[in-house]
Amino acid sequence: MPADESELPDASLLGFVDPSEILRRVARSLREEVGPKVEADYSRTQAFMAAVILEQLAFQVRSVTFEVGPAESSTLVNKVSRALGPDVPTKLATALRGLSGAMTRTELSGLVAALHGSEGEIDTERLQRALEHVRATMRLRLDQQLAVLA
Amino acid sequence: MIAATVGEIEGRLVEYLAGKLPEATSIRLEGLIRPSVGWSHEIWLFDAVWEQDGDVRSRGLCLRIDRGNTLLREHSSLAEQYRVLECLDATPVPTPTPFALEEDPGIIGAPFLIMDKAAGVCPSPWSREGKAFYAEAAARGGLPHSFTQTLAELHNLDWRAAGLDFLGVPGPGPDFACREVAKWRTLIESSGLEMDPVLVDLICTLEKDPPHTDRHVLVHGAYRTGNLMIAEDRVSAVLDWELQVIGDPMYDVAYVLSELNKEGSDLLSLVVDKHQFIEEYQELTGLTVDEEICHYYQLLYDMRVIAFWMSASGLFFSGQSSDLRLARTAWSIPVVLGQAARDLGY
Repeated sequence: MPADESELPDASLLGFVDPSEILRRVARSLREEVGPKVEADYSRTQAFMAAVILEQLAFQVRSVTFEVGPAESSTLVNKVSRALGPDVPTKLATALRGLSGAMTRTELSGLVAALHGSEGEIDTERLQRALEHVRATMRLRLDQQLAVLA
Repeated sequence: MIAATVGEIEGRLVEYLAGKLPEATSIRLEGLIRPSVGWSHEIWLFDAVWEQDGDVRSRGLCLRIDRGNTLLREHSSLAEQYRVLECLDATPVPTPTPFALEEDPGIIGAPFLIMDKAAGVCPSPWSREGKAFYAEAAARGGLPHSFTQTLAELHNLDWRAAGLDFLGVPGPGPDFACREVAKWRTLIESSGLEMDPVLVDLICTLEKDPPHTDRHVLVHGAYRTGNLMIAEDRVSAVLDWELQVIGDPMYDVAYVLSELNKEGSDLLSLVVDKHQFIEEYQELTGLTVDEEICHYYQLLYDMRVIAFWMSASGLFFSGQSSDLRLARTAWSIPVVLGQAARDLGY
């Protein structure tokens, strides 16, 4: 038994089938061989759902991570700061200063919430422009996720 | 929790029905099946057959069991559903006839309700067969009219006279919308899953500017094909009384208008043309469809669907349910987030 993960064999180097391909084959078996032969309605549905889930997992073996990379994050913070202008409420300014390096999902959510929470304290047009920059980043992330799922 | 076996259900139900039908003898169940419908409760369909006064009698029944792991969590109540059916039984709104509510989990292992099977069929709008069924019915013309007329009957109902104010009556102005946003936010938080930034954006937008309403009606909350029994091109029963509230009629109208319920068809809920629906609905109710308010409720429905899928997948990944359909919903979340982002304008 390997002592740690570094000792685990690289499946591709050993010539094994790609794990995602394994998942797809299992999914195909469930869909074509198992599901159609199950008589009970509920159990048959479970078999087909298992196939769907395995197919999704097959794609996610090579999925995109959520994180907004350091360069993209820095660009976004700069754009948002320029859109907001000089008079930024303390809470929002603190939230922006705290974003350095790659941005996690939690940090991006926090930025969205902080922008919405500043309504009334910042000029509406500036706030809307700032939000549009953040939304462009969120759209990009969504499109990447949806491309994996398609 | 693992679902009961057919044998377990059958034995316990026969005993239970004997108590409810004291003059019946030789009670048996025929055609007991568990269809793959219903995300909230365990559903079984059967015919109860018995002898009485020298005759053989039968009654088609539907059993809904609450195993305590419904995706709506504390927002779903069998007792409330049953009471709604009782209130609506004497009204023009077509609904299944209630038969029994049993809150004692000792009978079949969990609380349950039984209602009559409604006449007709309820094809899934997501299946190829269902899409074909609704397309053909739409072309014949009767169902589009019945679809709209039934919703109008619901919204024209004097819900106070029907005893439905127990559902809770919102205050004036934005109170209804605020309550709904808060409700689905609670469900999202109970899923145990992290909120996506798009969801945060959506909720902040909804909380900012809720619509005001002066007129409150009985809102079904999920009025669409797939929740309607159809017989001879007419709505024979409105099903799925889990999301009803007293509230803004535009909430139901927005649901009907929603892209989420068109499944690639040009027709609303696969059966009715948008202009025909709006024109007829306005004529039958005296209400004006406000598309701006409907847009707000469309965003609210996006939030609700995300809440459902987060709750469902949360139940599976936390180990509270082994139903693979719930696991599958995790992959639906980004799709609805994409719809929400589009509805927000990006």
